[in-house]
Amino acid sequence: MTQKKIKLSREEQAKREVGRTEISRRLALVLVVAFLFTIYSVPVIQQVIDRRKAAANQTVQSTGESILDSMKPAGMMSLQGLMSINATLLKRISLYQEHLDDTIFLTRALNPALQSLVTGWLKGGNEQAYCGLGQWLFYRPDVEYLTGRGFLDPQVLEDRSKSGGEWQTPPQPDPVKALKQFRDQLGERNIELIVMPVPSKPMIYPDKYSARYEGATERLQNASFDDFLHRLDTEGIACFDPAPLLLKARGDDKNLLYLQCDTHWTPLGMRLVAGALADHIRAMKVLSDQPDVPYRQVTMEITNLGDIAKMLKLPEDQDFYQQETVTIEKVMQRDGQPWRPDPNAEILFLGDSFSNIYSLDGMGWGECAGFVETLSANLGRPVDRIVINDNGSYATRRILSREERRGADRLAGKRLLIYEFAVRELSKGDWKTDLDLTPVTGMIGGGDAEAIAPSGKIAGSGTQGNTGVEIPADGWIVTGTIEAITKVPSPGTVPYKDCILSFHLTGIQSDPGSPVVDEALVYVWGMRENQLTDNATLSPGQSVTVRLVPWDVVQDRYGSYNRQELDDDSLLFLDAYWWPSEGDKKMDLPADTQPVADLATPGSVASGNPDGKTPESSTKSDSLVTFIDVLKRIVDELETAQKNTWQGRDGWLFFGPELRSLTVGHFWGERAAEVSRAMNPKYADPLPAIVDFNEQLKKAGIDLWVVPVPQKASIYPEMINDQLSELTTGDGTRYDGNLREFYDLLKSSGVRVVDLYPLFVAHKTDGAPLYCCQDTHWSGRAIKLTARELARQVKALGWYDSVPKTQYQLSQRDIEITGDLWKSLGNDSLVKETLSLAFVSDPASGDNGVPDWRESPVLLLGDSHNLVFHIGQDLFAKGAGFPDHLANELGFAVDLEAVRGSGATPARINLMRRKDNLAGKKLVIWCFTARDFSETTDGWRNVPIIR
Amino acid sequence: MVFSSALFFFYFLPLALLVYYLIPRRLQHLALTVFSYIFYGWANPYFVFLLFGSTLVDYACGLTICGQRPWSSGEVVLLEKGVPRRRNQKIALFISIATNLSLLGFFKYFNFGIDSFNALVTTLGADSMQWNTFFRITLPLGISFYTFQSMSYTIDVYRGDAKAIRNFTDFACYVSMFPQLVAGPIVRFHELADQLQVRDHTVEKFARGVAFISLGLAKKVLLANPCGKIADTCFDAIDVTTLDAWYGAFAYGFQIYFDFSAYSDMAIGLGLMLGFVFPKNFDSPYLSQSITEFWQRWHLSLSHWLRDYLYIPLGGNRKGEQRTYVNLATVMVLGGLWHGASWNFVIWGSIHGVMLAFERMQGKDSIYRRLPAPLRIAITFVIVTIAWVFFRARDLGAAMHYLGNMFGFLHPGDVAALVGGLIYQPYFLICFSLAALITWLAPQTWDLTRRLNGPKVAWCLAMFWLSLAIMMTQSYNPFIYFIF
Repeated sequence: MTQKKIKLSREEQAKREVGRTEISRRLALVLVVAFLFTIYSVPVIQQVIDRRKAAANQTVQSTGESILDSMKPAGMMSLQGLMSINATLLKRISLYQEHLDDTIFLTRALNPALQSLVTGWLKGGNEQAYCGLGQWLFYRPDVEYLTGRGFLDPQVLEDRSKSGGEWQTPPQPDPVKALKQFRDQLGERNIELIVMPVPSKPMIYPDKYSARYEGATERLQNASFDDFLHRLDTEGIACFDPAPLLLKARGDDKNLLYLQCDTHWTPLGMRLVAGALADHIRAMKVLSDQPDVPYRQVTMEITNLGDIAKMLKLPEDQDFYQQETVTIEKVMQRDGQPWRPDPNAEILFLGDSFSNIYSLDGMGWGECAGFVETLSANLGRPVDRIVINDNGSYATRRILSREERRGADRLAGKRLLIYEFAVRELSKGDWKTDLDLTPVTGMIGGGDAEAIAPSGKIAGSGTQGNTGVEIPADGWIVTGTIEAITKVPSPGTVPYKDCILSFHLTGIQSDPGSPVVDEALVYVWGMRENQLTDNATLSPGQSVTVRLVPWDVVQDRYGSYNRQELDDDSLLFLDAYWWPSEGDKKMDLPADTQPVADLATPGSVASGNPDGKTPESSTKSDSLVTFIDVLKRIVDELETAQKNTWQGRDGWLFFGPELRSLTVGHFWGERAAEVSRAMNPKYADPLPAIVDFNEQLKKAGIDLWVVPVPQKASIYPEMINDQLSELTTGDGTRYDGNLREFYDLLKSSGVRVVDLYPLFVAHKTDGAPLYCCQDTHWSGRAIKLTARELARQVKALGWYDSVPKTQYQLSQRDIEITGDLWKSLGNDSLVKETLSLAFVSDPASGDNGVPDWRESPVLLLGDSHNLVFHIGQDLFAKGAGFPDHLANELGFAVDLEAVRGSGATPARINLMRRKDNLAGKKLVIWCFTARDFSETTDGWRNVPIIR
Repeated sequence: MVFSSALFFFYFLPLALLVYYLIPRRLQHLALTVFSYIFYGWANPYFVFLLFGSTLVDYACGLTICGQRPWSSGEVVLLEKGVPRRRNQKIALFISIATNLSLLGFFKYFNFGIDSFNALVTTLGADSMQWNTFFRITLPLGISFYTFQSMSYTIDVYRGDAKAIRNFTDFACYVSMFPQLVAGPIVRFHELADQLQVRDHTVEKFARGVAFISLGLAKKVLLANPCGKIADTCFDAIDVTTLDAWYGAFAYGFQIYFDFSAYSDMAIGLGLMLGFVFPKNFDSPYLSQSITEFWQRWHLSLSHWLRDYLYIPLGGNRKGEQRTYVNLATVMVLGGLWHGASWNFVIWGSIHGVMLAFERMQGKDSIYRRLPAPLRIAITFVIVTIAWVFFRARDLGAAMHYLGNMFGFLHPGDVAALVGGLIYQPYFLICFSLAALITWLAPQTWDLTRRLNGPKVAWCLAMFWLSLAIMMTQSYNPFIYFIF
């Protein structure tokens, strides 16, 4: 009895114990204050960040959320109305929470360090990425596809069909059902279907995931896969399963078929499958007899970090997972242009990121060398394609369906459709069967479906509501209200780093004289490089000012990126537009849609920011736009004053035409004649002349290296004026316009370009300036750096060792120069500049400088950049020029053909006059100022040098 | 809303504390109720109507049992114990219990009932008799917890253990209090009645609350989540090796313990911050040397509720040995069903019920009572772990398959070894080992925070910050007891 009284209940124990917590008051205060400080400081800081960002962007004006509209008495009277309100609320709550988790600063601040610990050292991985052995990384859904239950297991199908939520539609889980329907739809139009599930990495390399598979030869597959094949076979659906082929081909670790840190295959694995699929297609004999279309393949090395490594969100400078280098084979058409899909082809290819990798530049593994290109080259036939990253179970079929419903009949003339998707889609994908492939005529452009080429011609006039004004290819600015918008997935939760969102824009108003459109479907970047863009925060009801560029113009470029489409099928019949983002890299847009300063940008609004630019000047794109703006103004000023020298900061002088060359955008192709200074528009485009020169040399067995010297203003933008003094090249921004894109174009045409821009940027701050401050030429230091870099590459050539070498000597001297810009400026009060030059001499002959050697296997061709500090006289010095330093680095002198004028055509004409077919030459280094691409008045003529 | 989220720690809690401490004391319960409804409605807004309806019924029934009308202002008195109740009092109690059990039965067991019926008629070859409803019932969050809590109120009032409450806000606050609303501990009315009238708010109490929350969050984020990942990987796989199956089952044992006890710690901590003292819910259960002892240490608020409101009314041990065994088994089966509507929970409850009855025959001790204590602890843990397989597995077939893997009855397929690629990474091995060490060697939160000196305070804060940091960067954050 006594004992019973003493025994306290849990509640009494609790009260007694808590009332007797032994803690000093001071310590208690410390604990409480630290706790409260933590939980209050985070939202306060977040609020400050959000407000600053909002103030900077002034993005949108909200007209209120539609949840209030749904709460009208009529809606609330019925159970269905209440459930609808509840579903809307739930969706809003879910989106809010996701947004909060995505944007809170603490996550971004802590992630890299913690991921270094958890994943880098302890191999914990994260929700998307699993760590394998050594450098290997695996994508979680790929692993779960294998370890999970069979995707055709009735219980699995039932569970998946009941998943989702009150506001989320459950998936259609049965792939066989969807494929059968797809086959039937295609069958109605006499089109054969081949299904190609691409194996996942752990199927081919399980030993790189778990050491237990070392030496094992098991074929790993999902429990339902054999049943899946059997059912397809029963239904008469052809399936090309590359897994056995890849397993058989799996050899040593030097010839990997899958990338170690990426979800996808290597070019080797891809080519293997493309070849086998081509054989399979030939054996099917469904295509008409046609002569082979010849394609050329150009090899190129690409280095990149895999997508799974990026999903880990490790610090930028992490060294746990290394970049991988692969050799891709770009497919070129007979005319030297990169491979393009052909809407008239007999084959239509639907694919996902396994087809996009090596094809879509945004994936970082090169372009024009993807699965479809390779298949096309293997078949010797053109192919049309619809390729979208991720969601292969539905995305491409949906786009095909939408194209058909819009009237752009992508299936016209097709005999074969290849449907490629990652095998994991069988267990994770949504195999919807709500797609209609019946072509609808008369929907596009107000009734002329024929006017639209499926892969990208502009529709011309006829946009819904148009009053007959031609739609400009570079778009026009409108203001409207967002009616509905798609959500962008959280960065890192999906296997792609870029994503386009779409919204329905209504109540559109534009300037008089512009095309009239009442409403439109607008696509814009929602995620770039695993970062949400400002557009991701847009929501229904907001008013925005946007530039509308017809989607057909940019579809080739952006159509393969993952795109979140609006669910409302009635929007299919609206014209689609692209909203060019200021954040787009310049190379991302075609010439005529370059987002230079005059473009409205995402985030600009109808009110408060009339110039359409975001005040946030820290972004790369903002820097670029400001840079071009300022340069345009300076060029105008100089041209009005009929001057060609601009006095920059701290005594730096800039050449007017050089500044102009950085503002012209694309200077090749159709725009060449418009922007070039060439007297004869016929010679405005540099591309054909360079390609022609390269072809001539190639025939003679001579290599050509094109070495354009970057414009001074692109390397030292901060010296132009005070407004640009904050600009930096250190953040990766390229200020030299579209040169990189042009170089890529040259490379894809088989021309080797040595791009000096990265080299100069890397060495910009570790010594004397790379250019003369008061002259149009480069400095002795830039010459030395370039010579060393080129020599490094020359030394790798086979013939180099056979050339006799000479040991030269270097000596350093300072000289004062009277630069051409100093003279042009006519300001005698400006102190002349002094340069420190390294002079090369031959100790044997005692000569100061290295004489040109006509018999040298290396010919240096170009403009005065090859003469400055080399020939003395008005070019300042002798023995310290580019030919001298190249000789010093190579160990032998070079042959020189350089002119004081343009290195574009006159230098080659001199070469032609030699009439020796460049006998004995192994290499021509063509070095000239990059401004000449648009600024030479001589133009770019084809010059017959090799006869 | 879950405790271990940025939304809770950086938005909801700061705002709730700010409002709670800034407004006059008389409005504190109203504020707490409003915040609790927001907390609850965050998971699904229409559930708040259910919560409110249940609260309203029990409030009215409580007053009716006391002979009062909800709209009158007469004094509420404590009913005398042992005195027969009038008919209207019995009806009021019946309405309260029937309402709560109906809610629980409909929302929790409707789908199960339909599925079981369909399975039965299919087995009997009468497929045409299947009842296919066009809808599926969504389980309201925490309904098992707050219906039990509400019922305890009317029963306590009826028994004369507590006075009915006149102030509706106070009662709504008791039913909906966000710290323990969705996952317990189940706080019976008589445990909290006094505190609803008077409670103190001291810095020491608040500080201990912070310590509870810090350690609770650490248990959840640093131990339960990684162990959960191991368990999920093993249980979701179509096949696992024997070793991996045991590893996964033990990991699940740690996950559910650290997950649930962490939530209880955080609930207790939050209660302390608001001036409430909730009783202990876990008492180092994996140190138990028998299943009987396990139930004296595991989920104490539920086991005490079942004891007081089910086992004892059924006759407890007062009606002979056989009836005692039956009562024990019945209570455990119903306890199993309380957790979820599936045969797995029935089997889980039955295992424990049979073990309890068996041990009762042994004099409330285990059959292995003569073994050394560490072995007794180990064997008890293994039995509990095996029973957890039914708790965790997706369905009965999956549970049997998993047990087949654990005991080597099945030959795992080729993909089984793939599971090992993740679960034996250093991160998971370290977290699993830490969980084991803390389970058997570390003091429990109550003991650790009884005396808070400088190093302990520093440790609590370090754990809090580290857990927050990990929580912010890891998206894997399941919470097991939310589904019950």
